[in-house]
Amino acid sequence: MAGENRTPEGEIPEEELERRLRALDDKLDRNREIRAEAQKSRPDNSGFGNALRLSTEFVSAVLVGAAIGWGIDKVSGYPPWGMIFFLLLGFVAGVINVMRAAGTMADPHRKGFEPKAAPKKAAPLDDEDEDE
Amino acid sequence: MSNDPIHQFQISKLIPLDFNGLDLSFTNSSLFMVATVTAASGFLVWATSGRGLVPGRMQSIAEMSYEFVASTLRDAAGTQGMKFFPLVFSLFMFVLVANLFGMFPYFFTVTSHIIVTFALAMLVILTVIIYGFWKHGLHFLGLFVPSGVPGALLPLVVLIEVISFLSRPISLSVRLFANMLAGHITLKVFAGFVTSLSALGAVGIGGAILPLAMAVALTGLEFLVAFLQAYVFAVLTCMYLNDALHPGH
Amino acid sequence: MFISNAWAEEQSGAHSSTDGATHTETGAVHDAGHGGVFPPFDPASFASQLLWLAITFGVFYLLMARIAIPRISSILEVRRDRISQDLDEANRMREEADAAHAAYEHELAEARKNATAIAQKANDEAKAAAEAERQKTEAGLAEKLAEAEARIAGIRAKALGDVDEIAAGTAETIVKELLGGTVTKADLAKAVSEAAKQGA
Repeated sequence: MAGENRTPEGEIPEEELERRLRALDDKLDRNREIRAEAQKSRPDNSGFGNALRLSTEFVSAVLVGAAIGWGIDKVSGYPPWGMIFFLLLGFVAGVINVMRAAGTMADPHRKGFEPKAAPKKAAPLDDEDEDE
Repeated sequence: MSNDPIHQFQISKLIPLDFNGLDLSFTNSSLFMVATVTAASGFLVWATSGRGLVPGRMQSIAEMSYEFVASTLRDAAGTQGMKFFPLVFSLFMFVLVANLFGMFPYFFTVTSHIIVTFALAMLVILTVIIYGFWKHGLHFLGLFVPSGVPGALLPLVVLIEVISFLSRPISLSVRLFANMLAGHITLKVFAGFVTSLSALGAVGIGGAILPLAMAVALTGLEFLVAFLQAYVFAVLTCMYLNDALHPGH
Repeated sequence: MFISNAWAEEQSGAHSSTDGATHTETGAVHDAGHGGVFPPFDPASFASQLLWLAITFGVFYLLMARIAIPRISSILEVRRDRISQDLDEANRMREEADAAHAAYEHELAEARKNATAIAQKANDEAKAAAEAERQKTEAGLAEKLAEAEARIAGIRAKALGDVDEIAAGTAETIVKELLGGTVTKADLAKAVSEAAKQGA
């Protein structure tokens, strides 16, 4: 324990104790605030990294759509239709992926995440607009 | 020694091992995987061996990386997600150290091969799928059915969600692979510029300053990207694991 | 990204030595002609990479899960517990100090209150004693005074009585001397008292 600032009887004066306790409380609060703020930061904020991330989200969705389409074409007997359909779907999924990743759309897969400037989604009617 | 940028990604066999026609040699890639694991685990185990109440510098670094991954996982997946912490932590440390090892000259970058990153991404997705089905049974498929969709559009929406889900391992792996590949190729190209320019005599050497500066800047960027890509891999892993824990919309 | 096309001119042959390069025990780095396959997309290396990745990552996972993570989490937990314990201790001590301080203040106020009471009491006592003393002295003096007065009255009465006798004796002598007769004592006393009555 610190030995500074003791009275001749060896006791730490009351004000010193008060001051130290208050300093500790302040430091703990500030620490908690800092940690809470740091946790709020979203991943991938740098421009280059974000750009690459969004583009890969899009491309991978198209690729998966193409792969599924190609597989379905091999199984079924109608050659191009599966590919076309699933390529289109892949395209849409890619766009949705990008919008979710960019924050333009709400991502139900992400905890407590809300779109940046979107009105409260109340009506359930035209939810997933295809040709966005 | 070849001067082209692709040469650095060559797999070379160090200890050839043939298993029934299947090539399982110990390659330079394997060597650096071993080096990554050794370095990462060695550092962590050694730094925490003192178990100091007031941590030294190395122990602080170990603790900070632990806290970093733990808070990321807790934010994305809640306290239930902490059961996946060893997996996420191992992934993060492995990718990070592998990326950083690649920054040294003449060292092989393990994560610059699509098969490696794809394997890691599939590990995550398979964990999500298996755990999701094991924990929630068929309700796990509720992941693909967002709330508030009119019945007519439902099949289409479900298909799109499935495609989106399946695109995850692809995007996860391609992102990391593409970043590492592109970074190293660019670095090699600029380094090639430096050497080819400086071969042109005095003017060349003067002109070689520019690509040299570029190479230095790129190296700095590559270090940042190494950290960032490891972080993004870990964060997305946490988010996908959250889907396994809470699939319902 | 598909630079393998751009480097096509470097290849000696198209796909001669790429597929199933399993049995080529070169053990050395391919030189200029890497067979034209972009190494990350070269399936020949996939099996080996997968296997060694599985092995190394598996080992790493075990090391983390069994050793490193429990260690770090225990360190953090010990520290957290210690900090909260120390904080509690500090709070408790602070409360004790507060209580001691309050007790001290209380004692001081009490003592001060007592002091004034004691002083007051001493004052009263002194005053009472002084009063008693005074009264005693006064009483003594009054007594003496009364006694003196009584003596004076006695002397006076005696003196007055003597005056009568002296007057009678003087009157007898005068009568004897002047008139040559004698007078009885009773007649003398009567005359004196009558004169006294008239004169006094």
